[in-house]
Amino acid sequence: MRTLFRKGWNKQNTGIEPAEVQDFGVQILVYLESLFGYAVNLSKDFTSAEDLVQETVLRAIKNAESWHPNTNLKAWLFTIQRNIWINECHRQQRAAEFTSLGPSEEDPWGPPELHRELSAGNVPSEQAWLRHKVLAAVEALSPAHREVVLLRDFEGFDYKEIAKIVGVPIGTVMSRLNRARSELRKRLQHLYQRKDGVVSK
Amino acid sequence: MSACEQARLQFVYFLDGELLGAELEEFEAHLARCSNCRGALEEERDFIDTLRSAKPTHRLPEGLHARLSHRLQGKNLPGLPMRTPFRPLMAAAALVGIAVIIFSLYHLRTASAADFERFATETHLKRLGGHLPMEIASESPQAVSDWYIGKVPFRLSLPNYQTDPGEQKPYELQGARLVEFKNEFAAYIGYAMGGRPISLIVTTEQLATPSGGEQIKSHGLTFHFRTIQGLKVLTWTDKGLAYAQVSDLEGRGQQSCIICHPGPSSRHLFDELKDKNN
Repeated sequence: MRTLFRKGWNKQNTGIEPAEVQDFGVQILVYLESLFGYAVNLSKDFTSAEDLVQETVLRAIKNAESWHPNTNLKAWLFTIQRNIWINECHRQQRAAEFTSLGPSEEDPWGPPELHRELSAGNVPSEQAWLRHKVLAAVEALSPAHREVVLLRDFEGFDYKEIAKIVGVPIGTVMSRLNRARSELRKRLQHLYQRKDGVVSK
Repeated sequence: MSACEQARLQFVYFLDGELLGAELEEFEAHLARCSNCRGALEEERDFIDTLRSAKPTHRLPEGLHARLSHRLQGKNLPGLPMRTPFRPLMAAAALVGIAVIIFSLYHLRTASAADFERFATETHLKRLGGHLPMEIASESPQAVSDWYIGKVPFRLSLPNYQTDPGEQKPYELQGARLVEFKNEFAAYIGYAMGGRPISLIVTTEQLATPSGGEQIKSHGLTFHFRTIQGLKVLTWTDKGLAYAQVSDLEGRGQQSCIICHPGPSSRHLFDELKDKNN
């Protein structure tokens, strides 16, 4: 990453030290998989998700000066990605689709190990089935509820960061998360129980 | 609203680490005296753990990481789809012919190495974030080694630390699981030293060839050291296997080498990993 932003980089404007700028590039790469997972959730399409991630990184490079080292880079990238997607939906007049995403034929949420086991003719492990059921329940949530579950439980953002990414008040994040988890709990209650500290089907 | 009803409304905020100050104190005080709520909290914790452990792992599309890695370095890989603003650069790149091919082959190798380090770092971060549950929780190197038989395409034999009488083991084996790296299962072994997590990831040399970074040669092995997000990442290959070790230990994290080289006779092998500047 040594050449990142060599041209046009200006410490006086950004307050970013050269080493931190190098880290900026490395850290973006660390978050690619998370960005891709979120992009799949937004677009429901692997090709669009790839374009979205690429566009997000390009936009991040372009706007690097607006990121401050003391802030959460991952949350900043997710915010950029979500804004790009919403703008794209608006541009293509597909805003309605964004709020009514249905299951994809590509099953982007399907756990790969389950598909691999099934395609190999093997009986999937109990863990793989459980995971499949959980993901199916998450997928069945409304887009707004699914999004906060993804950001909190899969990506580990705190409430404040989620509020910033999604662009809603923190109270809305809390209520969406509560409702989403209540719904998931109802759907999954019969699937798990505690046995000597181990959660199993 | 009863105290129990009030506490149960706060379960999710407590488990999410969002309950603070006086609210947290009141909540914990209630838990201390209410066994029913403690039981209900454990059920809620199980539910959240189950949900989080189901996080989907999406494999990055072929070439995306390498392409963006080069983009972040201000360079392009020829032959890969690029967006419009960079097409003139592609055209310029095409003009340099053989030089570009050599350049891209070199960087593809570097990208492969960076993939492994990135994967190791992200996996470690997942563990720190509580998103990487162990599939086998054991302190026994033998039990963990046996667990991997038939699960990974190589034989893994974790050494045991022989303590002297009265000596306390300097590290703790916490467990292991499978992780997916480049469409193959790799071994993830979780350790902790003084409460600080150490991640060891093992895959085959065919899938990961460490290169770049700061190179330290020691007794026939070449270690590659990088600091990523403040974490110390050491990668190396030995006998056909590739290893990545991630920690936040001091120096280059060389203390963590003790997990595989516990004997006093082998520990000196890694003295050269110490940062002479520190």
